[in-house]
Amino acid sequence: MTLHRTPARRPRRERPPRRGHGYLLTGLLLGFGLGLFIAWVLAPVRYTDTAPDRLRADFKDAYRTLIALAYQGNPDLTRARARLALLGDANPAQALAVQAQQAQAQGALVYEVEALRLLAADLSRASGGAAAAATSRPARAEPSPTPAPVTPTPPPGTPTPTLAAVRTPTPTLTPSPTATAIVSPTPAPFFRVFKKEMVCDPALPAVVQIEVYDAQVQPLPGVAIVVLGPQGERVIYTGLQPERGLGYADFEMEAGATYRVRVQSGGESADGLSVVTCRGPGGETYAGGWRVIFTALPPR
Amino acid sequence: MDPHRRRRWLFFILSILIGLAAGLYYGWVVRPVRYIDTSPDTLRQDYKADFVLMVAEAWEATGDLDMARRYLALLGGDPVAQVEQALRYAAQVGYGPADLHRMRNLLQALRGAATEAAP
Repeated sequence: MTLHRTPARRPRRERPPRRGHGYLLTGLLLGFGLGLFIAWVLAPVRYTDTAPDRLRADFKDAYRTLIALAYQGNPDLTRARARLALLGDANPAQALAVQAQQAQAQGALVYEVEALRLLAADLSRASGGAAAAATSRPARAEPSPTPAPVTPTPPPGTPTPTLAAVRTPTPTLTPSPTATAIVSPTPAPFFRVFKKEMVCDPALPAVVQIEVYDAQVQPLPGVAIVVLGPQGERVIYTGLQPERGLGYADFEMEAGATYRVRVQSGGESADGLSVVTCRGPGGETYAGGWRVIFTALPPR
Repeated sequence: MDPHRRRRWLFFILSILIGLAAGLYYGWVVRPVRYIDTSPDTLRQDYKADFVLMVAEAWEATGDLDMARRYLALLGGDPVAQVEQALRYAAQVGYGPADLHRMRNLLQALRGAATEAAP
């Protein structure tokens, strides 16, 4: 019988098991995650020198309203336009018109709504239309181009290190004396009724839809339309439902009443507008309305 | 602790620190948090000054001092201090006399109202 000697076991601590370098990767990932948590959550970069286009939507609305109100005090369209550009709206006139509508619906101050509307109209007029001339306000003297006292929008996320570098004094900031020069008012265009037709649309029962275009057949926002009905005269404005067109406005008729509409600045009226009876495909009846199109006559 | 184990711990902590540095660099420099919903109190000084000028112009048109105070409150802090600061900045960078005059008028009106309101 042979005795086999089993080799003596070596203590484990003398030869530790081989481990990989996974722990290094674990450490890196842990550290990276911790770093991101600190950088994004605990101590994120704080911008203190932001531009108006970074404002929250409701603050942008307030900013826009303030621009419109400031325009009432200082009717410098160049300055108003420069300020609006800071907000980065694709179509400032439309943004103003939409906000005017929302402000009115939310019961905002009347003069704020009116200021928004008028600036929208003046912008539209300046950009080629005769919208403002068609509003309730007569055309007013427009100051010579004066740069607004604001700097161009900086690239996003680039806070300016020093205030001195933000803006250098420029004498052009001073409004030109010609700003108060009186110019002869622009003659208001004459609007004619281009089309007046009955509309049978179950989605818009008893509604008078109005569209206003300039001589180049461009829709005109901010145009004041006078509606004469059983309750007397009232004024509605185009462009407050931009989804239906910038030159669009409408109102609902009461059954049995007759209405007359015209552009406030002057021109032909569309008379005899009352609820009409329409018949659906199944013979059912429903209230119908009208569509009236006003166009400006080209200037002579 | 044996030296081998201590070394491993050292490398582990070192790798965490390297990861932390990388994470901070990425989070603060490469892709910092982007503020897109800021409030007017974070506006740059020149925009704040123009904001105050707009309030002064609006106040000139409406005569509504409450409205002016409401808008100035968006800039945070004391409205009078905001107008003072904007006025200093406007004078420093060369705003026109008419604009400076408007801002001074607003400042006076705010101070006057504050004096009246004081017991």
